[in-house]
Amino acid sequence: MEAAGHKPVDPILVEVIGNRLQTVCREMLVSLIRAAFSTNIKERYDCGTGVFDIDGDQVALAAYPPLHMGGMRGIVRLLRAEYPPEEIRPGDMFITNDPYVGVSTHLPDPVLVAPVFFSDRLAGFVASVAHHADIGGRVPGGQAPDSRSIFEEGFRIPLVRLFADHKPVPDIHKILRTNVRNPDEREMDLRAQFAANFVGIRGYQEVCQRYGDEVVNGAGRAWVDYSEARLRDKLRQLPDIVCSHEERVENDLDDKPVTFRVTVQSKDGLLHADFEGTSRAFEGAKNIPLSATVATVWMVVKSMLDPQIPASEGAFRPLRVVAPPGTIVNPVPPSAVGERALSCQVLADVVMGAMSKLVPERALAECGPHHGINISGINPRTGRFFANHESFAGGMGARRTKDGVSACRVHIAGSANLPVEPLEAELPILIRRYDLRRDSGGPGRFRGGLGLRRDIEVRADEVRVTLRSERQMIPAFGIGGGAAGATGEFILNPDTDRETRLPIFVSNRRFARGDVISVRTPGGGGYGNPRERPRELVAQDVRSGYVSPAAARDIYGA
Amino acid sequence: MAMIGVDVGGTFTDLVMHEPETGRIVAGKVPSTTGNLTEGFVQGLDRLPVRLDRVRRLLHGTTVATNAAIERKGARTAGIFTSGFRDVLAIGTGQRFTGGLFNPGFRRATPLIPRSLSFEVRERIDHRGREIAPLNQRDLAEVAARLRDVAVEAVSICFLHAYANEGHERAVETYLKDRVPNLFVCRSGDVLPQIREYERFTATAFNAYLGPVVERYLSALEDRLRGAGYGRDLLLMTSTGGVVSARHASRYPVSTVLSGPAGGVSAGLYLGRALGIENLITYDMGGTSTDVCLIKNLRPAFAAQRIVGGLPLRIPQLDINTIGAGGGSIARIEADGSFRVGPESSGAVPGPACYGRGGEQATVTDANLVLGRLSPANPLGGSLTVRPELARSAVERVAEALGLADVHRAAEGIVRVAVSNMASAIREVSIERGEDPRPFALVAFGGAGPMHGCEVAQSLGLSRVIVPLYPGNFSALGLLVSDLRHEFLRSHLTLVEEADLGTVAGLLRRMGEEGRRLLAEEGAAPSDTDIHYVLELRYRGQAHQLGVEVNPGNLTREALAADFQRLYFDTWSYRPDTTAVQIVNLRVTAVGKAPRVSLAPPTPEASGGEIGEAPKQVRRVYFGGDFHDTPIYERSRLPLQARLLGPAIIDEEGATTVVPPQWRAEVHPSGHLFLHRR
Repeated sequence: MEAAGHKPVDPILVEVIGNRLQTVCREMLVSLIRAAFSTNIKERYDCGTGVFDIDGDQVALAAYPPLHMGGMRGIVRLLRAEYPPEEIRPGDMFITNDPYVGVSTHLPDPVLVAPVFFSDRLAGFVASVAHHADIGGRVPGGQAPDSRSIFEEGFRIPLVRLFADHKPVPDIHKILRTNVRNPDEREMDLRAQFAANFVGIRGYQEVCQRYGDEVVNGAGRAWVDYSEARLRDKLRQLPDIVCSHEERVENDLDDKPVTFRVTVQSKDGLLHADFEGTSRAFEGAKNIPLSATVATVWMVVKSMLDPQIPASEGAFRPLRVVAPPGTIVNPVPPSAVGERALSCQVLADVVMGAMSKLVPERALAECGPHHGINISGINPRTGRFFANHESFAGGMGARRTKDGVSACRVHIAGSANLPVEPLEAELPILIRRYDLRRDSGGPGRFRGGLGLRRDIEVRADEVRVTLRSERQMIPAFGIGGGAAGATGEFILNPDTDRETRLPIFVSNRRFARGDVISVRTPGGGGYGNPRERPRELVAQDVRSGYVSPAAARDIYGA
Repeated sequence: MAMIGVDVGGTFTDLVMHEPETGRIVAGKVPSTTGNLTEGFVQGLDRLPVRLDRVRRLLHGTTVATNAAIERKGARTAGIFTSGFRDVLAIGTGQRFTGGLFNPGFRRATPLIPRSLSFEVRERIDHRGREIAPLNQRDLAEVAARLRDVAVEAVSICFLHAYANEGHERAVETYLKDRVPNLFVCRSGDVLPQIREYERFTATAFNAYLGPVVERYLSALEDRLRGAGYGRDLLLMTSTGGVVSARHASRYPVSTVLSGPAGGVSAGLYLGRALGIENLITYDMGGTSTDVCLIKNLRPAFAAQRIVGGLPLRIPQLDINTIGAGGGSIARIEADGSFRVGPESSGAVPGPACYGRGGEQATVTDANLVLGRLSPANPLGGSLTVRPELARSAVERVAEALGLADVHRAAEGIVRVAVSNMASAIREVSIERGEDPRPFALVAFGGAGPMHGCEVAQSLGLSRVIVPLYPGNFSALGLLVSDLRHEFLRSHLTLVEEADLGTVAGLLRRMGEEGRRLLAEEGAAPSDTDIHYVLELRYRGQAHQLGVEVNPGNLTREALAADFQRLYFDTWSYRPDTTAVQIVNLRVTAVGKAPRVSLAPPTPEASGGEIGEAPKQVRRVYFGGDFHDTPIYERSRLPLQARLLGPAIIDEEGATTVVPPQWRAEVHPSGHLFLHRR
């Protein structure tokens, strides 16, 4: 199939077309959210969309969690490597969820990519990614901290054609349906991704209609180049020094200490991030596929240097990430990777710790990562199987001039906490309590954000629960004399005589009707000496119940 | 019997009076009286040639709620929450949104209800409206006692699933009304009976927070008007572009957050209909701020959610974008050396430096005076006199700080920055929503809009600008042509196949009747009343819905499912593998049509394209780095169909139109001024 070339485009048109493609991309995301059936997609926005030019560079990206912005990057190049151009036809869509081909970052996140044709030739690509509620494997939802290989984590799909001529390819669908727990819902979520891609194709074609496909591709390339030049310029302004940072990370399956280590250097408009010294891969599921490691570095660099830079391929180009194969940050098959989002949060703290030496004014104390829960079973209202995936925000670390934000998704995360009412309206779950945890924010001149508490009552028999965490043993540390935030906790049946503290993870454990699981997320670290916190702010925190009178006296000296 | 529209802005109060019998239109403008806005309102009315007992419709647009929301100057507000849920407002969605995703300096807006005033009461309703735990009377008594102690003015009752059963919220409301005097009480099941606690509680908190402020303002205003002989309902513009009684607005002040700017959209829509132009951008630049809104196919853009004071507000509302750029916007050099114009404004007092009321800082108006674009004899608001030498010395100070020897270059820089800010505001509602603004006509109005319309259009690539008749009073005119409008929305979750359609029809009818009752109270004749019924539907398992228009007298499962499936396919181009369709929300709009207003061009002295004697003088005006000899016209003396080339200045009461060198102007047969890029 013939493909469009590029035409040079003036800067104003680059901006107009670049913005149009961003809009197309956002429309795709909105369609995906509106059409999806998994709670995780439709209510929590755990999904993303991308528009790619003919070269396979992502021109536009839209997602709530930044991690997804790195999860689609390589998809077009993979497609073009595996399928010769004459085999890519209008109406085709291809799927993969395999982190070991460098695309999706774990199995529940299938990426669906589609070519865009304009006047009978290939003009670009669109893609979508969404975190499905189940993808088969040993436990519902596919994410168990104690999975020891990717084969336990679900159905692994190499890049294959899922739709041809706008219709499902029946053989692939049959295999897929057989390997997941709730095939109808999977099918409908994939249809939502199909619909999002369709909206993207239509939008991209409209832009081509107006300007011509070669102008669109010329503008796309210039837009990407512009992001690259802009980031390189920022990098050139940094001091040329070598900065390292390292930190221990929690190991779910044994207590052997495990370490992240990174060395960063900004040189000649490039950012080098070398993970030499990072521990060998976990036995469990917190390994971080290379695509997620790169996305994490990208997120930190963008946040600290230029939050407004368009999220295109150009902003990835100046990054030089060295991650030794077989380590946590570049595992090899068959290492499990399902829990990569939790370890990515600590990784982000570590990379930020190193980058802080280059841009101290943008330093952030360590953050309280989210905690996750999967609940599955038979919904007594419908008699059907359900699998629900949720996670809850922790507290953001304090900044040089500001408190951390309480109950806030940080770093690579960006999904919403599930609202209580729609959840209760759909599933046999009753939320008993949902509030901020007193004294969980790391004390400091600027206080870390508070973690939250959510008490979840199970209202069905035979329900199975998986719980996932990070920073339940090693807290989010403060900086500049600030103290650590509170660690997270899982408590079974709180405030009763059956109250029990659960381990840092729980894998597919049976819960009885009426059991209450209390999830308490970690707080962020503080910034600066707490005794220097202005009295009136401490008093206000006490009045608000964010800080206890005892802590105000003993820690803040108030 | 006359109609009067009064639009009270931050700087000026604009009025328009219309007598349908004679077709007469009278416009007026007085300075707004900051501190006691009713004063300016009444002063303005005094100048109109009509007695208030001869007025049958008095309509009002106000920024009282907007300013209180944005400046966080609302009432001290408490909240009563289901036990365990007092932090719903603080936690929000747990995300970093509104530009925070990659911003380590991100700050979430503080909730309107401080945590120290967030109280909990044990009670619980489930999603079907069944009581799980009764309302705990001891908790309630304790909270009532605390409310008396903490001296709050307003309270917001926010219980889970109150959209499905308002019983507990109602009981608390009744209890408090009897025991805590002088408290503005509102509850979530009444303000926005919609599923999703965060959005519902936020709207309710806004309503409580704004309640005492809006109530005080409107009751003082109504007292004054009654004293002056006006015996009917004062009608308030709301965020949907429709009007409601002041009584209704006092109860739901959250619906008046866009009361000020909505009049301009209404007027733009009226203009588009009258001229047969379907795609317009309304651009309203006043003394303090600029409001823009897109009208496509004669439908103004609506926003599902707007960010107000940093918080998401999800009520029926126009998609109006407001920025702090107006004639009074102050030019400043920041500590880091950057040059900014606005959002700070000199307001009505002291006003721009040239007003000679003590304002020292250069404003956009001062810059225009220095450039010669604003005639000293025709400043905004007619009755004012201005002192060009004060404007000049204020702008000279800016030039000095910028290191510019030429005061005119500094003045042009001030105007350019303001223009670029306003163009960005239009980009946000067009380009960033995927809409190419270039085919749209820019409707430029407000005291300062016509002065900058061409430059704003030019920087966005638009080639047509319309300066309507009465540009300085256009928003007030928009009030006159606005329909009465009430929107009702109620969540009612049920599968279509299991639904009791009789109940659904009954609920719809009841909402419609409530609409009719309100419209009748507000004086709408039944023959001018329209009720629209919409069911918001989705496939079971989805979270977002599409609206299907229905007739409650003729609801069938088959038709509902079929209509929805068709609409779904048209919207998303596919059919999911399910047929289970769920009803989510019932939506009813009750409209009482506004009386017709016909805007005849004010008796032109001649017509046929001869400008004749119209130019009153020639002045040197600065454009693009140089002075140009520029004719100054008086708009009222320009004949219909007159054509002229820029550069030119067209003065009229309340506004000045600037026609830059690359533009030409034509007086349309309708009397409106059309400007085209040459």
